[in-house]
Amino acid sequence: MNQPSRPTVPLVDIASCFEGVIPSTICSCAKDGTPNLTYLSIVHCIDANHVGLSNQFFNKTWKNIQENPRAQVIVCKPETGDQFRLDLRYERTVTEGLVFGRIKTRLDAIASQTGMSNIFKLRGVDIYEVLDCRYTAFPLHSETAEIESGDDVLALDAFMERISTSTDLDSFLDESLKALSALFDYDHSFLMVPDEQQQNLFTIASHGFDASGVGSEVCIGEGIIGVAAKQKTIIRIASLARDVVFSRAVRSGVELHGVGGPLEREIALPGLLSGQSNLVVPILAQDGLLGVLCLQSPVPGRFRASDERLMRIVSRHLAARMALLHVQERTNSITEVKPTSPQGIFRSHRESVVRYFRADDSIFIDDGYLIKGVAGKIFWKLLKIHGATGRTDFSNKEIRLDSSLNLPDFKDNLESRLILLRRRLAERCDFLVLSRVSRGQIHLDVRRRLILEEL
Amino acid sequence: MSDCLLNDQIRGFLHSGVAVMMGTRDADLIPEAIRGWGPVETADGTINVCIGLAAGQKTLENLADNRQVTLALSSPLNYAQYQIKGRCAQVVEANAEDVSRVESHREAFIIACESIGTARSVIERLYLQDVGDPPVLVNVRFEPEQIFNQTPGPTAGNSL
Repeated sequence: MNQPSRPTVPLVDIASCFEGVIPSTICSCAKDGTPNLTYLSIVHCIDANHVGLSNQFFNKTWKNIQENPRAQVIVCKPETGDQFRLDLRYERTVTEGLVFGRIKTRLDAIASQTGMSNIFKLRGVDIYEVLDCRYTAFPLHSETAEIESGDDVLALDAFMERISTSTDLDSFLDESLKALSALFDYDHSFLMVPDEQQQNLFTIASHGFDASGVGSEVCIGEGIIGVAAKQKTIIRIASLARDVVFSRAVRSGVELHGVGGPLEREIALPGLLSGQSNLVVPILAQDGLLGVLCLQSPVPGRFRASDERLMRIVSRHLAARMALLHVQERTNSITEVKPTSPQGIFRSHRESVVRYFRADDSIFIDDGYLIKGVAGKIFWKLLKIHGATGRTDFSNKEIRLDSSLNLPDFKDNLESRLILLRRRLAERCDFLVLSRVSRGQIHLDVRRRLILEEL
Repeated sequence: MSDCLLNDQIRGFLHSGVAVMMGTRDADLIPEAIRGWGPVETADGTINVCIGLAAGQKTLENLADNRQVTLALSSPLNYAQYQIKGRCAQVVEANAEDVSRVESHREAFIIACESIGTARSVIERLYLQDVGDPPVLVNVRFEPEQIFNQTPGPTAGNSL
């Protein structure tokens, strides 16, 4: 039995070469001696002496490899520009299993994001033994050595401490994203939660963006975030701009020659317009989807495998804490509320029109869109009660038990919906304020006369 | 000799800020790749491209053994790609004109890479690692025999 190869430079030392930040090249050779080169978006590191290449377009390489299993790949470290030669020998092709699934999920996510789901089909992952890995030439002195993450445990400990002090979902969400920034330098993050039907995700909290994006939605199963949510798998994209450019190159060829499956639209990714690096982390509790944590960076290759491992741990703690807060919120809801402030005392003589559209439960204030869906329906109910009785204080429990709202019995997202509503109001309307008085109780402050219209 | 094998589109592509890779193989059909710099079509239809001497030892041995060579060109801006296959005609030490051409190409490549988020310092270091500091380059002249469209998609691999 052959001994496993021992590359001169261990693959683990050049892990960032396998993030897909800088394209690689594979050189193969036909049996007649003609060399062939093909550019690769990404080379996947499988273990200490194997790499995997996704088998999609490089047919000439595939043909050559069947005739002559030797190949050479050049990879590049994105943080330094150091290049490495990997001498390879084709071993086998896998069409199922862990490695295939991981690579397929990533490809599916990018394909969905760029509207190429009918074009990008992973036929297999070709596994190559790495016979050697070495510098292409001069191993230059590095001034930008990789920063070891020796303080990760300390940062994790501090993170747990910070999020454990939050007693309600609202402050927990904000504190979590702030702590990710302060402790791990993840400066752009947002958190999405699923709707009641588990069909869409909506942004409930964000950190580090010019506009909060609260309320923005993606379909579960569509795009990088939607695929991560549906597959319940972390997806890490190192250079979205390159992936988009690659997809557009294929798209223009398909459009020009009319071959391949039907094209879909490109999907806009929420968050940074210049978001090169994306780390999308499902938050799961007993395999149920509680939310999705999305980290972004304008720097290509910002998130490494170590960040993925770290966020896997963080997501488990977020899930546990979110589940606990949901349970506390439901079990400790207040039934009776305090007397209300009198109706008709406004701090402004101006009036505004609030329109409710039954078709999609959307609410517009003076023709400006506020919210739709379950949150819209809840808000309309509160406004109508306030308009009729002057009440300003409400309990979560009475909302939950209100049969006219048709909230689901189990796993309702009431607290998430109320947080979304509060934040949308805070961003878009200065005369309607919804605040959390105590656990399970909210207060509606109406500072202007309202004209309510239901359409 | 292959007069005018390159059309204007590919000629313009060759002389722009594209990524350039050269592929060769040895007598045992073991392939070898290296980054190329400053590709240019000459008046007689051959192509000149420079490689770093230290990084290119095996490539030069391969060219001396069998002359078979391929050049892959890829635009960082839109992933347009071509491959030119041919036979090596000559290997000489790079002259001042070659070095000047290489530096122009390096700068154009850096600008293209910067536009998609790769830092200038990364490409500058990649270049130095390839060619040394100060650069020691050799110029490979080869006769193109076939050109292939390699832009990813349904027509990738088609001969032009």
